[in-house]
Amino acid sequence: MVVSRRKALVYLGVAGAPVAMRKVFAQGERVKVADLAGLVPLQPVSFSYPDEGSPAILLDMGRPTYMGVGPKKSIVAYSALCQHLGCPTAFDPKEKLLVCPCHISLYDPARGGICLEGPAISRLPRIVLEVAGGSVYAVGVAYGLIYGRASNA
Amino acid sequence: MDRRKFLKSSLVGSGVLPLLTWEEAKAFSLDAEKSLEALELPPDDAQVFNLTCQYCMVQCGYKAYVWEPGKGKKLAGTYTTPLSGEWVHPSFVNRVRKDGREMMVAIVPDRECVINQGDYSVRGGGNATTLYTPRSPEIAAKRLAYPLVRLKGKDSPLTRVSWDEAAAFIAERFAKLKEQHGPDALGLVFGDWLWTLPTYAILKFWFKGLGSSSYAGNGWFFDEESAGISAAFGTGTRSFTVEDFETTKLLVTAGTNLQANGSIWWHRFYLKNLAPGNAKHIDIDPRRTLQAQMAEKHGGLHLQIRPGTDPILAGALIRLVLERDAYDKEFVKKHVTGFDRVVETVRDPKFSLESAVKTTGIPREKILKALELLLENKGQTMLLHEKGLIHQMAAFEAQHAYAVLGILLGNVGKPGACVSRSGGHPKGTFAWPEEPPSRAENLNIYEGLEKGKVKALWAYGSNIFKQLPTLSRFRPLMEKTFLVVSDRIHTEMDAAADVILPAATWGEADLILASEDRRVRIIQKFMDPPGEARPDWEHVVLVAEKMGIPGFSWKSPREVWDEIRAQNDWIKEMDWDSLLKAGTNGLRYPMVNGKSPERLYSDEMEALLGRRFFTKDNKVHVEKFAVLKDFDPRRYEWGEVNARYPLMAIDFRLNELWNTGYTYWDNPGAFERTPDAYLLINPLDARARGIKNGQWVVLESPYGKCKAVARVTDEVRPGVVAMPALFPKPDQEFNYATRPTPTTDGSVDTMVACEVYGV
Ligand code: SF4
Ligand code: FES
Repeated sequence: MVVSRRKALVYLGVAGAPVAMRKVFAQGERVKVADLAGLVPLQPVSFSYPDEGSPAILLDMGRPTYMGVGPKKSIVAYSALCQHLGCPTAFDPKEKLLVCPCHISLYDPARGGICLEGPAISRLPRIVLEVAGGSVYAVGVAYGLIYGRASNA
Repeated sequence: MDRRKFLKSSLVGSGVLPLLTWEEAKAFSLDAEKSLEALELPPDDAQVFNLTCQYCMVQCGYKAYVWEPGKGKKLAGTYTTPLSGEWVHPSFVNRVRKDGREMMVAIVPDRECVINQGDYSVRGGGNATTLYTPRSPEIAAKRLAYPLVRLKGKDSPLTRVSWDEAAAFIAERFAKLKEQHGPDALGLVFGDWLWTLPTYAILKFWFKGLGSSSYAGNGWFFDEESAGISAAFGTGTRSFTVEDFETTKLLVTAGTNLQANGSIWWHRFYLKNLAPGNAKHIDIDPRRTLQAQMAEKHGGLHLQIRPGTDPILAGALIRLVLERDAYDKEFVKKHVTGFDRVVETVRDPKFSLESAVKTTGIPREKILKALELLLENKGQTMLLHEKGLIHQMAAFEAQHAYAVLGILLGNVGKPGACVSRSGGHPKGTFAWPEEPPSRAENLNIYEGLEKGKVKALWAYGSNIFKQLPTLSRFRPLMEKTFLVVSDRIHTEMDAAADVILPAATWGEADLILASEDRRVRIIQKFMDPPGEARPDWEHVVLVAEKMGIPGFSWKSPREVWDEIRAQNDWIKEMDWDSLLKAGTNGLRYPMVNGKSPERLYSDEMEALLGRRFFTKDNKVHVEKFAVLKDFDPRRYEWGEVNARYPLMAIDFRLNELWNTGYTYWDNPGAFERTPDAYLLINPLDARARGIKNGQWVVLESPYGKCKAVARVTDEVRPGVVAMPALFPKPDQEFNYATRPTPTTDGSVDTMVACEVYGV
């Protein structure tokens, strides 16, 4: 029997989950990441979230993007640590992918950070962003767990 | 953002991008995006069990930690560093039932295992997601838990019965069919890697208990796909050790995409050897895979060969080696017989460089560069091959030709050097009971089906509606037989099955598997199976007992194993207790007086076993290379390319898809990458047919059709299309279009002329 993707997601999210998943995302501290005026499309901005041990990457994809914020809905951010074994990923502007140099996991920042190829078994955790007063703030973590941690909080 | 725009933007770009279909893109929404509150980690006093991965031939070591819910560790902040192998990914954790109680379990790649050292792939990383969990109605509905029987024929409903009733039902039908039509009326298709113990049980039952010789493995008809290697060495057993990937100077892969299938081997090669610049990689593949791109990026080569022409490429390289008088004379003189036949065979003009360039489609400079790399790294090269060669008609020729190339360059039995199959699944057969004499005339179970001679089938750990070729023609014939299914999940076979027996699987029973670098390990039971599911070997015991056939009274897995190892000198010292003690590193075969060689065909092996090769005369045999005299790629599959079927289709393995995908939909990391099968088609061929990237297409061959999403890309050359093997949606199964003819080594052929059109 083939489980439909929709059903499988229900299972993943609710029924069979090993841990509680009450909130849509883990609300964290509000941390300023960048000023809108300083962002250049496809030039990554590094920051840490939710604390120093967890590097993250902010990207202006230059066009409307899944879960993007900002005037063009083009700004997204992800945990920079590969979900496989934690090597720091880097943005490849030509492929428009986040690439892990260790065993070449390829993540797509335009599609919620899903892993397209390589050993990683999940998306990169997405850093939830808010725009206020011309600045971009990180406010929480959506999806999964940041590498190296047992909790995103 | 507007969904349509999102979809459009997401389809643009890289050559490695798989596609989301429109349906999938819609499903790609917030409801899947949930953050985890906190993950409970194994406490220090968790129960620990030794496992190996339930999937590929690499056979990575894992540990299962089991503890009471709520008693796990809670950690704040970052607790580990990159590449430590300590991080517990949320997918590693699940809840299961153990001894009737709900327990937490973490399935964690084992840092102590010498094979993976804490590493894992997208397949194995999902091991825990596949467990039968009381928490999930989805998983519960998917798993088989009780014996089911159609009591009144194909039109009656599947009814839950006791094991005793199910066994009696099978026993009666089998006995009757055997009496009326002879033993060969009973056909078997078995998963030949299936946890070792069940495989032995069913083969013994088939050959000795029932006396039938009608059988096929999953994906082959006769001979286990190693004929081209065993012709040289006397066995097809893989000869290398996992460490070789870190020390070899040159890796040559032909028709084997290790990055996607054999991942941990590739990880070790890439991270420790290729990327630091110590080794080079030549990848021979009709597709420009990620592995091929990485090979090129690091100073190696991608030889984008025209499918089915490998014997010509290998023959041309051998001819060039001989022309330069650059073969390993010492090795050849000492160990090789039949060398003259090779010399004489490659004189044929079809093996000249010019002719090879034309036939294989590989540019002259690339063939010459490959030659340079091979000569520079004589005696330090690993030549590996697998299904890309084995599932083409000239399988023997291709396999043997690459073997001979490696042999002449002395890449045998040395650190970082081998010629070998890489393999797909773990080794599951250590003892092969004697087959009934009727086998000589009964090699192809499809002939038996077509002639109406095969009246019953037991699909034993093998989805026969996926793993055999030409399903458009043969599935209806299989459906008509008295069909017994032993499996772990409900499948499309349910619709035609007369009896379904639920199998207790990985984690639910003590099992044994061996890695392709020859480590035998026990996979320990750490949880309860669903309902009344029992390990597959017990299915055999129950039916044999009902039929009154003696010799099947095993009471424990240990007893089955003892019977197996008594028949195989390589493993006879490996009793159950020493295997248990050996944990995730296991014991290696061949084992003599407690010692095993790291590599086959090495000085070490000669010292231990008193022989260097497994051929009768202890030599490497290359005389069968002479069959290449008759090889002409225009025969076979290319002979069917014509105006109606102008394209050549091949298949490949997806990284995230194991086997027939029986656990695919459990692991979101797998299915969200590839929610539908896709078909790689060159922009020229797509344009000529008005096919757009991302649209549904039909692939039609002279044998049948299947569906896929078009991915327009120069990953494949014009004239060649490729789609994943065994994609777990019935209408997207390539085997509905594959050829029925066994290859020259008895395997299935998944290269087929076709046409592709939009729907
Ligand atoms: S490489 Fe093979 S054995 Fe290792 S984790 Fe992946 S599927 Fe399992
Ligand atoms: S750590 Fe990123 S792919 Fe392995």
